[in-house]
Amino acid sequence: MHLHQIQGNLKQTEFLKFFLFGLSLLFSSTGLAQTDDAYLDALEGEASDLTLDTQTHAGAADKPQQAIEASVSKEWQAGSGSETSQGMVQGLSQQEFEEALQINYIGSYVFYQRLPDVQKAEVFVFYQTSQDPAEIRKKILQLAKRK
Amino acid sequence: MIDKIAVVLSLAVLATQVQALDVKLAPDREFVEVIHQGKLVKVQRIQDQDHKLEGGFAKTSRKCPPFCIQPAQVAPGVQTIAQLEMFDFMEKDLLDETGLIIDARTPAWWKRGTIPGSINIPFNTFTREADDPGLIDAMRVLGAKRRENVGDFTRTMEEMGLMGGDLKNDNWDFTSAKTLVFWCNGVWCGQSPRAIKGLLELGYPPQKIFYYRGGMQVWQSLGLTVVVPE
Repeated sequence: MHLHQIQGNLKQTEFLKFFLFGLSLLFSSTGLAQTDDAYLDALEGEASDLTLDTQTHAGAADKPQQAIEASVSKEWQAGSGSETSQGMVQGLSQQEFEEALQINYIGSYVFYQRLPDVQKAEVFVFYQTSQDPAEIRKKILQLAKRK
Repeated sequence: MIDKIAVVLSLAVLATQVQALDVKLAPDREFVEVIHQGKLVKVQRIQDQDHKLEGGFAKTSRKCPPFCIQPAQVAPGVQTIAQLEMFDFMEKDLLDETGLIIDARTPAWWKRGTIPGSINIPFNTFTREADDPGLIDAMRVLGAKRRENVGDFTRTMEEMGLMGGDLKNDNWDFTSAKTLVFWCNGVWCGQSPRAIKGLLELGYPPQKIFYYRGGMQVWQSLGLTVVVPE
């Protein structure tokens, strides 16, 4: 076999290798896409008639919680800079402050109640400098995450 | 005035119920409270000790593949957690907004009900192209910033461990990335493992990812509170 024939054969071999490699890439990526689609189809099929245990739905075990959740929802929405939020009255004692929090800002009160006495006092001191409910709530959450 | 009396009465009833919980989360923990879509949700267990699990998660078996048992460790550096760690996360990382709980399931699953405090980012979000708007939006929620046209000198310095390079790559800056808990349907579900692997491929720091392997299966079997998204 002459040299140019050998070189020609080598080039053909290299081209064939490249072609086969390209084909394998094409089929592997197509295969992967089909696998993903098949997986998504299986997921949708399994979810289609699935239900969760209704006893675990939020509020199922604790009906009064719904009233509290509704109040909290209003408070959290009002606290985000809305004009409807009202400031707390100035000059309350700590007990009066806690009662006002409990009646008017139940969400903040729930987290406030979980603070140790020292941090509750810190919130009360803060209230004396700012009666803004949003600022008071921020203070309560800031102390709560320190635990 | 009547509204205020109603709230106080509701509180009194709630206080009574709080003290009466026989089935607690832990000896020193009766429930956990989280904010879910702007509302306060109390996560607790079903108190009826005769109750048996109903619904789709009472099934013992699903075809494998595709619903195969997943390994305990999803990827190197990613810690697998259970329920008590979830409760801690809800009360700390979620509360101060340094963390997120991610329901990695497709919307069809999310709509059936989810773990309170979770947001929904379907697992296949993280296998999209780098410039896909859906991926970029999701990454922004996770605290990752998109990078473009990063200079060679900057990259060289970062690859040498300088300029915070351990938390950056060509496409993303993870300096402010949040701590994440991923979950899906449970030990037989591959959705959150796929999400985690996709996120790791993008360069997200593994030490900031946690895998709640028990998922909805265990959550349901313990009678824990779920919320149905609005």
